[in-house]
Amino acid sequence: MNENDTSNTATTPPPFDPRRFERELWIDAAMRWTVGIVVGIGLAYLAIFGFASAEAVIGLVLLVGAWLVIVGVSARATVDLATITAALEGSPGQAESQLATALGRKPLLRPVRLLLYHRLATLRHRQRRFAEAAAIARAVLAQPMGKAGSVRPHLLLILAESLLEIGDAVGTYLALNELHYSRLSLTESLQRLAVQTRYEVLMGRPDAALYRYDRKAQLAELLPAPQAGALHAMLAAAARDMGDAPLAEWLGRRAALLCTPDQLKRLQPSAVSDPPIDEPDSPLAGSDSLL
Amino acid sequence: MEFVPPNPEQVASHLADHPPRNAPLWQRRIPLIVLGAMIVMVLIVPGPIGLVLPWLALIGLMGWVTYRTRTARRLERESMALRDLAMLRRFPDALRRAWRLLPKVAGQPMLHARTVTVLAHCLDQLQAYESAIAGYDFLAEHLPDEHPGTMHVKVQRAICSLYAEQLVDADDELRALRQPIESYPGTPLSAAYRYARLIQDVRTHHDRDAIEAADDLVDELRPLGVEAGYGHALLALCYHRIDPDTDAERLWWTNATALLPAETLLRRFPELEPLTIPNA
Repeated sequence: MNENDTSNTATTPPPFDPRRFERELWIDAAMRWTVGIVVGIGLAYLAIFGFASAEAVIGLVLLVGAWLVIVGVSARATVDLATITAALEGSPGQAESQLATALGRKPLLRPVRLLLYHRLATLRHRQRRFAEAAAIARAVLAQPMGKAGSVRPHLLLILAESLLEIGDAVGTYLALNELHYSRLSLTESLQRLAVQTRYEVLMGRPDAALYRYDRKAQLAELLPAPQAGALHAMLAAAARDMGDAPLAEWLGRRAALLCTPDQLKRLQPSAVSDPPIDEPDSPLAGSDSLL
Repeated sequence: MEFVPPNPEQVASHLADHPPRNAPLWQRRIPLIVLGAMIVMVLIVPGPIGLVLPWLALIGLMGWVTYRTRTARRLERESMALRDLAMLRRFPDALRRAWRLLPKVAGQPMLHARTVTVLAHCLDQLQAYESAIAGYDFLAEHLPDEHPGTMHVKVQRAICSLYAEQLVDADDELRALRQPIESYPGTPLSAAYRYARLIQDVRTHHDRDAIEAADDLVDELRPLGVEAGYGHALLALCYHRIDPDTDAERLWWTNATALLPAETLLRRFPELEPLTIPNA
């Protein structure tokens, strides 16, 4: 399956609108409050008629029912979250359809809705719809995230890269700056390194990109091969800009062994438009030089 | 004191002592049981006890759910930290932690499988190949047959068998995997399989076969990342054995050392030693 997979796309979430997003959060909160008030009235009713009576049983059933309404809808959406996450990788069409269904549910607990929007931002980012991905990430990050706070660094990464793609250097800087003050997992740190290096190369700061390049190359090895290659290619471009030909050659050689020119183009369309590397061939294929 | 990885018997015994297990049915139904009991108590227990007990049961249930959720989150965090340690190549630390974590995650089959995977991977990287095979065997036994993860485990097991010179075992495994692997071109799985075939050719001295099949080797091994360097070095060795110091040998060795330091290559394959000596 690829990103253009359109099977199972009967429903798709409408284009992101921050006002609708705010409205959905407001409706969720209003419905939760309504249920809360119903529960309050139920408790008052129990207090009046006593707890050990047939009325108490009705009251208990009402209480449990109201609780199930709130938690049950969100629980279903939480189950959807797991399948959406799995589908993001292999079947974006299916993820799109499931997101549309899950986002339509009401009332949702605030963290659940924010997590669903996080998955939507991830999907749009993968689909290279960067403007929409950035808008979603920005809107979600502007909310108090509570229990959904664990995805905050990932949203910042999506925001930084999407803004870089649409040419918003100031926004990218701010997102990267915030990432520096965030507690990141190892994978997130590696992703931040990749986005930041790309930002520095694009902003004409090869010296910053090459700062502790050996450590950066070591860390890049921990990324999946195509991303590792792309990061090496960016460092090679920075070394070339700094006039360090041997370093550029070494980094370029590694980049070519780690990712193909096609992967490079897909991963870094603007950062390294003219990679200083050739596709390595087998010596048996008769190329003049291996790299 | 020098770190000594566990032997295969110790690994097998530790895994057998802590197999994955699903929570028993009654444990999964506790919320329903408590709710039912609450209603019964309201109806049949008279007096103040009947008033208080259902609410105590409700509070107890909420406490129990909170405790379970927190425990699950803590184990998930520990599992992520373990994965990070392995990614950072701190294999002895990761191995120790995986060993201790295993009994705690027995009740969560997914986390358990992840922990055993890290355990086997660390043993593999520490060159305790037979112990790693014990870990991979356990995983292969407990994962569904057609799952891509199962195939990856089987390929890794075959690679460990080749490292440990268990050539017959490896040959059987690689033959069985040949067809299913064809459905995953260009993935780390197919790259690992290709690497296994290359080791097999080198171990069985089929150097010419390895060279003849190497047209697309750079592309085929690329998904392995820097680990592809081992494959490039092995091909250089094939050239060296046939005709030392050719351009092709030098080119493949240059590729290999661009990805991995020569010492790292030698640690895994001591037979590469002649390639490090100019004009050997």
